[in-house]
Amino acid sequence: MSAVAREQGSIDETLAFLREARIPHQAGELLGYATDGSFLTLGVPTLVVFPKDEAECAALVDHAVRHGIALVPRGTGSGTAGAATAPPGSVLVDLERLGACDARGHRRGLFAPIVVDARGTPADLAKAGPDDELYVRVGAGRTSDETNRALAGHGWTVAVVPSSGYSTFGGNFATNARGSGTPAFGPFGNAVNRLRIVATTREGARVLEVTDREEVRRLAGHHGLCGLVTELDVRIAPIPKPEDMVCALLSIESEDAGHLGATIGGLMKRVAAECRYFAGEFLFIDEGIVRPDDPIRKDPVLGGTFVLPAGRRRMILLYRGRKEGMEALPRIAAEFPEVAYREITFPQFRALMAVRTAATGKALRRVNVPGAEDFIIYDPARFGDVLSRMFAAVEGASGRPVGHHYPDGIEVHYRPQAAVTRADIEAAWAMIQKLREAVLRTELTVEDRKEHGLGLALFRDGSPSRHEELRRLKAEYDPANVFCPHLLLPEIEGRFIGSSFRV
Amino acid sequence: MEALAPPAGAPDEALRILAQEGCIQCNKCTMNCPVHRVDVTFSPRKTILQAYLGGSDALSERDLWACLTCGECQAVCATEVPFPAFIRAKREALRSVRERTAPCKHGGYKEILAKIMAKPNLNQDRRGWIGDGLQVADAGDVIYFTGCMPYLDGVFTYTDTARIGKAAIKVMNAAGIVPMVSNAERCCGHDALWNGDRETFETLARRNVEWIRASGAKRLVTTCAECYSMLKYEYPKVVGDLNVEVVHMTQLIQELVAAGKLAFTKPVDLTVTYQDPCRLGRHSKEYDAPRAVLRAIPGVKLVEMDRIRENSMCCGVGAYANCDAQTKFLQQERLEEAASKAENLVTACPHCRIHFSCYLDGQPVDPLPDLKIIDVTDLAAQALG
Repeated sequence: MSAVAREQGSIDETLAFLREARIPHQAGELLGYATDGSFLTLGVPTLVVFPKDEAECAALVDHAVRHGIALVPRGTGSGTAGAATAPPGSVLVDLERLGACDARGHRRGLFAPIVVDARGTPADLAKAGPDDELYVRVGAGRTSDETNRALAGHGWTVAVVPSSGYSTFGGNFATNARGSGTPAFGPFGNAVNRLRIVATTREGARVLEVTDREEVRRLAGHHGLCGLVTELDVRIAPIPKPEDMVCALLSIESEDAGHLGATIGGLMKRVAAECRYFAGEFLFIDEGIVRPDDPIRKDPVLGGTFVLPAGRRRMILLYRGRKEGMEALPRIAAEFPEVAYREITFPQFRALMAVRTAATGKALRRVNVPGAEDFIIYDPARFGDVLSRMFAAVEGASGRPVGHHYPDGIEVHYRPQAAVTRADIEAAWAMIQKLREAVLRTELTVEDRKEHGLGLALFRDGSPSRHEELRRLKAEYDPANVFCPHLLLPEIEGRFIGSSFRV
Repeated sequence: MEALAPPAGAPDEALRILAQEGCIQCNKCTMNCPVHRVDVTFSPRKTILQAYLGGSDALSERDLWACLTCGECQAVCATEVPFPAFIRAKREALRSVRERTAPCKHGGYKEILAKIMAKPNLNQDRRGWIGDGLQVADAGDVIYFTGCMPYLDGVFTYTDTARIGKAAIKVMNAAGIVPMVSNAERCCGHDALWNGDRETFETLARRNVEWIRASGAKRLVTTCAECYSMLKYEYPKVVGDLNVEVVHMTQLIQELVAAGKLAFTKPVDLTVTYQDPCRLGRHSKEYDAPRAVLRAIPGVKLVEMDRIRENSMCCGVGAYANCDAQTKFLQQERLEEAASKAENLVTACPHCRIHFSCYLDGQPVDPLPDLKIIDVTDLAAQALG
């Protein structure tokens, strides 16, 4: 167990080192770094450091090993499991600039990524074919949004895009995040072909390049326990031409959430067996999901989706895939008479995805409280039961479930909404605990898979085999134990930061 | 860090604004913040959390003043947290106790100008720049609100800002409009409001609305995006209805062209790209009129930058509150983007033009291809026969 920099002497030495190395950092008033997207807190870190490249990371890690300082890496800190929260005495290492800055240390919003093939040889996108296995070689601080902006002109996209396209690649890898593209390419770690990591020896830092795919997959979901990932080769895929792609909108409405879930669960089971798709997403429509003046309400095709008869719920399901993989979808939909099926254009699909993406975070005059992010229902036949219980548990509260249809199950995200007052926020948090009790049941085949990472629940919710694997990895990569030593402690538990709000 | 306390008993209006829409700590604001790209320690998300936890009065001078109030954070926010409005309210709340140092504001020129203009019984000549051949009136249906333009050229010598005013009058005259230009006009108060000086802003608003209402005019036209956002959206909150329709010059031109009252007959063979001013774009949601004007001018080829409309990047300076070395890196980045698309960067706000021209007039961080900064109204005037 590494000591943390609780002593003023260590802090002073670290500050002196950072000044000498000209690595940007902050000390003092760090309330603003008390949590990440989880609303959990371990307190306030002692320092926040912002290295921009591998050399600065190596120098920082070397210093940490020599002085017994705990480092807690974070990407953008958008994770909802608390993995990027840092306890007092530790140093929060913000990696969002990593490989994303010019020589002066300024991030450039626009960049031209290097494209390589599976062997790491530079490739030319202009000459690439649709079946080529290609990767972008990017700094860990880059995001899929930025990268897709650069790739769009060539008709390519990052293969696996977690719904927050602004999370960093390093963060996606640390949590082994899932998202759009996962049905075709698996979780993010499966889409990484090579990486570089600043790890430790007992004496200092060492920089490793990992090119073995199996080893890369072992490291995926490392939660920052093994080192600072600095660069990755991330799989990209061609955006199918409109004429080769199918985007579909399936819609069903009822007063009975259980009936909706049972019907859609049955449909999803058939789709998983007979279709191949890049993205399968769902959301429930309510009055607050888009603002009254949102232009999508006036869209001649999509606008009607947001008009809801009183007392009824509407669930919409979106699929996108190549035509050849989606041939069975209209036929399957036709077997469910209550389900309305229509093909939509890619821009329309994207417009609805923007609603879907924002839905977990969108609320009018409300804040959304995380905590019920990643329920996976392995048996779609139980989807109706799960939805019944969910809606019963959250009766009277605002908020809405959204989720993904993955080939191995249905992933549901739910965030209750609260007015921005401490009392309301605490009530929402209490409701989440009630919801977890109601839904996380073996007989429902529901598990908190934590697709945004296990984070602070690593010890509590992770499987023993995964604990062992992470301990082995940590011993191999971080024998000095400077990276997130707290995460493997059984007693570590985050406190809900909403209880400290002064609003 | 110096703690800044608000006056005792003052309600925390800033926190009330911040709590209207809830922050979910997703960090999208910060990842899209231009200031954050050059100063990683500046983060709207961090500031919001600090405020939620009761620390907003301890905002550092840097966090309080580095924000450009460009609104890119709010535009990408899933819950549309009004961070610029929070910053504005915080600047207002902390005004009496802050010790602000603002070395790059041209000696506080704009601030001094606003305070002078807030005085009663001001004797101004606001028409001296107009010159021969252009028709203006003492009264009429249409007011041309010139903004700071007549005063800017004395300081910003590298921009002929009056050129925009002349172009506006030329265009209006060509459409049969003889606009009223009033010597009673005062500064719109934009900078005062955004820098926390509400008293000066409200005084200016009252002085302006007095002569505007008395004029009997039906419309007020401005070529400045900042004046437009003040007169259209902020004045009514303070002084009620102005009794005139406030339009930006590009909206007027678009309307005149569509109605057949204005024709561009002289080709202007230029490839241009367009800078959405924050106050006209994100603050006022007007993205289309300037583009419609550019498309109506024969010979003009519009090539869009990668970051446009809601995602447009700020010119680097907001309300002259901030202009430092890091500003220059922002401007370099934006101008590189513009230069990769066209030889001419067109904007619809004199202040964007000033800030970009200021940068080009100085010592650019890195070499830039030749790039001209042009106002859209100026371009329209060139296309008149």
